[in-house]
Amino acid sequence: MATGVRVSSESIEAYQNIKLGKKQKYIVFCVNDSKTEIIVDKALSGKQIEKYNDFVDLLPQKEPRWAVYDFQFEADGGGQRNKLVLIKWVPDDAGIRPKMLYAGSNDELRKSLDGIAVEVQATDYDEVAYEIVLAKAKQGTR
Amino acid sequence: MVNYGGDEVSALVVDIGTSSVRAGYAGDDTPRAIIPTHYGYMSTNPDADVLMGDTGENNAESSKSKFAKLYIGQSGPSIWREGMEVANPIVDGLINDFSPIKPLVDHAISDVMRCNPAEHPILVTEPTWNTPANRERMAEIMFEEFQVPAFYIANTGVLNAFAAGKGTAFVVDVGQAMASVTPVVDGFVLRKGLVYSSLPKLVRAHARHILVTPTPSRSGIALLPQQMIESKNAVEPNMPVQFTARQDRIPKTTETWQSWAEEREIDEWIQHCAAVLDQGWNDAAAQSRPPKLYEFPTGFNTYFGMERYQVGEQFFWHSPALVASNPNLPKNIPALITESLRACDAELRQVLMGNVVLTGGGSQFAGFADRLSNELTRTFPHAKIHAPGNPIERRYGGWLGGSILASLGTFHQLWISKEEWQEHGKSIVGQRCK
Repeated sequence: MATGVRVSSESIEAYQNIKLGKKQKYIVFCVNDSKTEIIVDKALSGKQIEKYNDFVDLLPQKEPRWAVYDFQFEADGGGQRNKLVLIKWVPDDAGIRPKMLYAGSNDELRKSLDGIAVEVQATDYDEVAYEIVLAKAKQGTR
Repeated sequence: MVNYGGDEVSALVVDIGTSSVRAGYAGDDTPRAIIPTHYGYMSTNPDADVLMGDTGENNAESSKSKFAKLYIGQSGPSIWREGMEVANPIVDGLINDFSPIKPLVDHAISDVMRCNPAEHPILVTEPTWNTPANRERMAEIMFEEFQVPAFYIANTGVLNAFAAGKGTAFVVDVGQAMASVTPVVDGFVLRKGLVYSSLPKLVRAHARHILVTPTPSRSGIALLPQQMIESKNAVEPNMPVQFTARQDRIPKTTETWQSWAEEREIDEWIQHCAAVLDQGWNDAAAQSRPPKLYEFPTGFNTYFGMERYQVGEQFFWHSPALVASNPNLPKNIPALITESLRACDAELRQVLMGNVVLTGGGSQFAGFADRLSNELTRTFPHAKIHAPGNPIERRYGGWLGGSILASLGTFHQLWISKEEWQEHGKSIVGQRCK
């Protein structure tokens, strides 16, 4: 079951820039106002982000979003690793309509983002805390 | 591709449950028509031991159906009629008898909503354990009998997960007849983890047992409905009743109507009085809660204390004596959850427990969500329950999810159009509605 909402070509391009170009640390996606396409949330995506926690603070308190973050960490055996993390952000306070819209469009976005290593479904800031995501990244599973 | 949905023609959403049929316009927050799924009928079977009333007023359906006359909707089964039988097409959550489905849906859409189904795409919901034959039959009824221009059938487990904003969720749905646990992973039902039982029926049976069994402070309670009472006088709590029954009606009442009416009295009592202790069973805790006064249609009234919690306890715990005496006892909520999780991969369990979605009218039992949360956190400290506080969202979560989905302009790509139905036949239903 899906909503039929598509992923815009601009979104795929932005993702490729992270994945291959390594030019950005993260992107935030949202559904456009006419509810037809998943687009890059420009208001949130352009900022300079140094720390993971600053990125988490960008996620809106009452609205769902998707975000891809290029997560860098020290592997247990030593050595630096990078993994692409997809965060499906649906806070409890978002209304039932946006919740349905985003949850029902998840699959379409996932299919378009080839190379995501970690997926996190989160409703509050605790669930996207650095330690939680780090543990998942190390596990290599969701 | 069809161009329905969007702004021009709004779609209809129909959700057929054991207690009610919900129908309304996609995009609305509540169903416009909520009618009982139970219906009254006069049998055409000449051998049946019933009186044939109103045979002159047969409706169009009757010539080819087994019913001489149907009584549907708010003035359906709830109005006493001589010789009227009462039935329900749903057995264990699934449509078992399709013959009254068309009249029920027709009543909700044409009579209550005053809407012509042939002009609107229609989204129907189905329980997770629906059979392929059943969903194809539903498509057939919609296309062939209602002449709908487009159709979609959506799984209530997934709809409830999505309505909670979750692609991955552990959906605990407690309805009128069935309690089910559905793991949904990335928008798809994990079939091997789906478990369900007729637990709500056991809870009602227990409530009946408590009410009709005499106690030291009162005699057994008569579950006589309002329709069978001529007059009554107010009495003090626990005092003998003073009422006159409608003796004229008693010999003309069918067994099916009587048992339907009694079940309704039990339901009313449960809704007003029954509750669950949030911390598990404890005699002292149950006794310390304030008792509730309840008056039955006969005028009998009394305070219910501990008994109200014994009823709700059946959702979570069954006494060893009860288990021993009944090998086919419906599984309780903890047993359903354990069985479902056992079928899921270990690493998935943590994710599912962090995304429990509680839905269904039966879950509105006072204290249910707190108790479930306490039971789960004992084993899974990170368990997180999403239980909509809004009673409409909880009770009609499946309908509401379908309403939002079908109102999206982009959803038009997913409808099965009439042309596609005519070209591909039944097989398109399984291909399109996954």
